[in-house]
Amino acid sequence: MKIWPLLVTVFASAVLMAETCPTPKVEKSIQRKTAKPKTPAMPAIMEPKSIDSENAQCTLSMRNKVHFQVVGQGVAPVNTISPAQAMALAKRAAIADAYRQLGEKICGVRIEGRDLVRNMMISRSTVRTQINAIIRNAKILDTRFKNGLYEVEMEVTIDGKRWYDRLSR
Amino acid sequence: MVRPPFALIALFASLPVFAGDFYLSYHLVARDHAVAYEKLSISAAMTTFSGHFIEICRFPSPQTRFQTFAKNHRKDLLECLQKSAIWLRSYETYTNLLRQRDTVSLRIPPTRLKVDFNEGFVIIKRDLERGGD
Repeated sequence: MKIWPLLVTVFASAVLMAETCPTPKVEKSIQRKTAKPKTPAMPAIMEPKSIDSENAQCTLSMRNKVHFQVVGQGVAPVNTISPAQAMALAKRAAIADAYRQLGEKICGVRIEGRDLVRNMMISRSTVRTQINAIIRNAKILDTRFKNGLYEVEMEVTIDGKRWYDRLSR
Repeated sequence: MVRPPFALIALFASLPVFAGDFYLSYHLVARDHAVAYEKLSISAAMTTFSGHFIEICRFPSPQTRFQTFAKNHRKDLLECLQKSAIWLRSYETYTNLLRQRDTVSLRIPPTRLKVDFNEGFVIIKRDLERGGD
């Protein structure tokens, strides 16, 4: 006999809740418009999966290592006293170039552009690039000398375990 | 009760025969892919270094003087020190879309080194706390 008042109060509260907290409505018309875009035939390179996987390889995480590989080139100066000295100096220049390329890749390049306009015409346009970096643990993988050009292959490995915390700050 | 002198001999044999503390600095400038300037400076320290030194390279060499060793094994020494740390500065200028000059400067700032000559090896240790970086 005492169940009826309880049932009535539960029903009344349910009706009130339904009015005060209406369920969110999904705008089906908008969804229909966006759900079926015209998909032209995309080439294989433009597939989002392949781009994501490529980015994942270049992104540093706690568990992976990123390798930066460059090839530096150097030539011997004109005023050398022997071919051996020329070769040694060419190698130094190649190492310096390889370090510069590593600096470009890892630390980035600062670019400054200046245009000089005279009589409503550009008379001089200057672009100056600058790199400032400290590079550690660069490995020389290979060296070769051919036709007066010395090439040095160099690599820097960044370990996520060590560098992720510092670089993600 | 006479103790054999083996322990003493072993102790002296394990100690480096010659050792020294040095400052080393290096500067190289390359312009348009050719070396324009290069200088390696080595100076013996006036006081003994203290601190935490870590071995960075070891070369087999019978020499007992660091200056002579650096002269004969300049290439190896520089590769070892460059691997440890190097400061890079590079400039490139383009005017009216034509490249004017490309300059790369590599520098090892004055670095504290402890050099041991032991059993035909030259052992180079670097101060990582005050190594110029």
